[in-house]
Amino acid sequence: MFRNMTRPSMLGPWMLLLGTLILSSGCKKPGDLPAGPDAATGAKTTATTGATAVEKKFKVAISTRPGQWNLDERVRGYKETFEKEYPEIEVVAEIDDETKYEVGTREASAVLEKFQDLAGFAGINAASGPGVAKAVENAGRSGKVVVVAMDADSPVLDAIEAGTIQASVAQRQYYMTYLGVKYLYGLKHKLLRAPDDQSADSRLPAIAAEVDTGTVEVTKENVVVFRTPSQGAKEDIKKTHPEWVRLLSDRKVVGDTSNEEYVVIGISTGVEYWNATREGLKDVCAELGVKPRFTGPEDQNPEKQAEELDNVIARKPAGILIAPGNPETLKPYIDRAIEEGINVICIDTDSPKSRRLAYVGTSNYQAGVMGAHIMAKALGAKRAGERADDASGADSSGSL
Amino acid sequence: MADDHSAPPRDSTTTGESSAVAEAGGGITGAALLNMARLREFATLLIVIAVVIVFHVKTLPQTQSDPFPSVFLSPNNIQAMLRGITTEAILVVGMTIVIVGGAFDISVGSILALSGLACVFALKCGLPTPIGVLIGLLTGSLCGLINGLFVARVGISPLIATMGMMMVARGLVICYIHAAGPVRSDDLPASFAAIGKAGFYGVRPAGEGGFLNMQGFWVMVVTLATVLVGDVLLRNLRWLRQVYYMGGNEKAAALSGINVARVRTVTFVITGLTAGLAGVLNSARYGTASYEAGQGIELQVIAECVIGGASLVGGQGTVLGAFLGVVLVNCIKTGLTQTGVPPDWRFVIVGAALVFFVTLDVLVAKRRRGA
Repeated sequence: MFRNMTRPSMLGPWMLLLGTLILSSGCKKPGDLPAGPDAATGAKTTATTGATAVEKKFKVAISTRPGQWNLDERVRGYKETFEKEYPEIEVVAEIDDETKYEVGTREASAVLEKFQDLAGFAGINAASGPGVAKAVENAGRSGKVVVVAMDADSPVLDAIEAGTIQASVAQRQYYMTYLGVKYLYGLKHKLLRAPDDQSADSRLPAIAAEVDTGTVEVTKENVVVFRTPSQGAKEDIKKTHPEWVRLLSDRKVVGDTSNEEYVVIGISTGVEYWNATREGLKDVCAELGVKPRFTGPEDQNPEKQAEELDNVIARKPAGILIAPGNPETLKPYIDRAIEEGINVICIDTDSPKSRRLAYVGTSNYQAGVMGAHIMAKALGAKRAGERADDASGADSSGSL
Repeated sequence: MADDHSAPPRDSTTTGESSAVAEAGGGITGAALLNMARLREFATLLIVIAVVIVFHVKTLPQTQSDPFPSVFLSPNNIQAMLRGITTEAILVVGMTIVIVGGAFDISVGSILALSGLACVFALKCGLPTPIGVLIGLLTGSLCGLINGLFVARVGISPLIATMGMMMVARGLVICYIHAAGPVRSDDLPASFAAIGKAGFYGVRPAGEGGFLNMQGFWVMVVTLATVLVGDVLLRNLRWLRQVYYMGGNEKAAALSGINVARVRTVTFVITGLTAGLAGVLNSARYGTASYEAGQGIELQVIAECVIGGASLVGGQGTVLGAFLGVVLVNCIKTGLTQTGVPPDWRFVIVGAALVFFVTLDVLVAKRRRGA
């Protein structure tokens, strides 16, 4: 068996391990970025897109937590949109902010120092934007470096009001729990059926396997709307998604459902991000006359979250919404819940290979695309082959 | 020369044991019961029972559909708790030994992650499951050996040496996963997944086959065996009992002929080995190796050892006590989940409980000394 390891096909992974262990630890860190002449002089670089050489006018950096599935999708959305639609924009650095403000500030400061001509900084998670904005402010380059953030937590909104963040891409956490619990209730009481459930009555409406709850652009003009507990979603849902409000409104359920418990399991539950989720859970449970429960580990620890899910399964709840911190780690536990006969729907982040019944949450790739359009518009970047007239990005859930 | 001095005294002040152990064979008398009550393990067990009763009462069935006899004592919840304690229970075995020896190891969480990754990486390369498991265990032991050499031979403080290992090991895992992408359960052989999933009768859907067929049954068996072996060896293996001497007074231990550097190094190797075992079983349970594996677990494990009677200055503690510390902390955590205490408050309550139990222990010890 060890001989196999000396074959080229077997050697590859071992070499990859060795190579990555030695070399890649900081390959995405600013200090290890290739320091071309442009970095020092601020001269503009060029790159070839298709047959035409396009001048790279705008250098942009990204602050994220690499390796986290949902964040990686957003980064992909940003990068592919820049590459395909805005060839003038070049991503010159990608930093790991560990989803912490202070780390983001430290890492972003190094990038700002290295790239004196940096034009924009994209924050991919809720902590990224404020962390980057602080670094930009410290460097005395507010207004010169465009910062596009993610989510609508208070620090992001404060920075937008202060003008250190130009815009943010807000998710609609309220919608995730509102629709997710309605789906679970409908499945529990056989008012709806799972997408691929062949045994269910085919006359029942099927729930969607994947629902994009959309994103909204937050700017100085509409920032006040996001100051409510639901970040404006509760006030907006009748206008943006009347079909979700109508869903199950004419339900006829026999028996008392007041003891039915619907559980949401978050992760890093101490952060403000979950407030809107809790608000949605509270409202939908009040509407359906059932019991809400919100739980989850206080830190970003998928293993603790899996153990918490294991404990929740023991309660035999009517349904579970979970935001898997790591799709692979949570997969066996989600599958166990399904085997125990408990319906599970993923919200916020997905575990697509598990047996979960549906995913209700942001299309993270589209969130990245939207952020890229916002960044491009703020920078004044041209679209490939034409002037960017409507680079504001599509509001996939309707405007507020 | 060392043999003449290597067996430490078996008294309650250094090991947490008492003469009750010796008297156990001669029938339980009033004095034996009194001695038993003085055992730290016995006190921790009583607290565990009290906590279980409280959460049992708090989660009694409200409706006919609620689990019986209570949510807390339902078979599913007990299974979940047993699965939940496995990682920490294995880690406390090594941690107790190193703490008794007068040091501690904050790299166990990262070693766990690196060992789990080494194991699944070997399996992805096509090596058979036993070899993959062995590679995981060797990785953990190697990390422990490096820690031990730095502490015992170079003279670096355990805090700095193991903090360095913590960062290096975690960093290596992050580097690999960032470069090669996450490990998926589909990439791993079924025989490895079976280690984590199988019940007594093999891999079956959850809920089938009764309590014995709980998923993770064999992980639980390995865990209990590790705790049992660790406890028996630390109590009875003459060579290993030298750690009590070393932890109690390192200079005196050295003067009495104990090879302190060698014993210290071995304690770190044992800690690394148990972290490696926990890492392999963790990867089998979750079907993956993630960079979050074992994150932040080190302080919790140290706290559980202390709750179970280990002293951070060394010379005192047992594996059984630390295991009961694990059970106690996890009973509290699960109970808080099942009684609906908001997640924000759990840190506060578990932290307060830690301080409460240790304070209680200190006060009782003072009173005993006074008496």
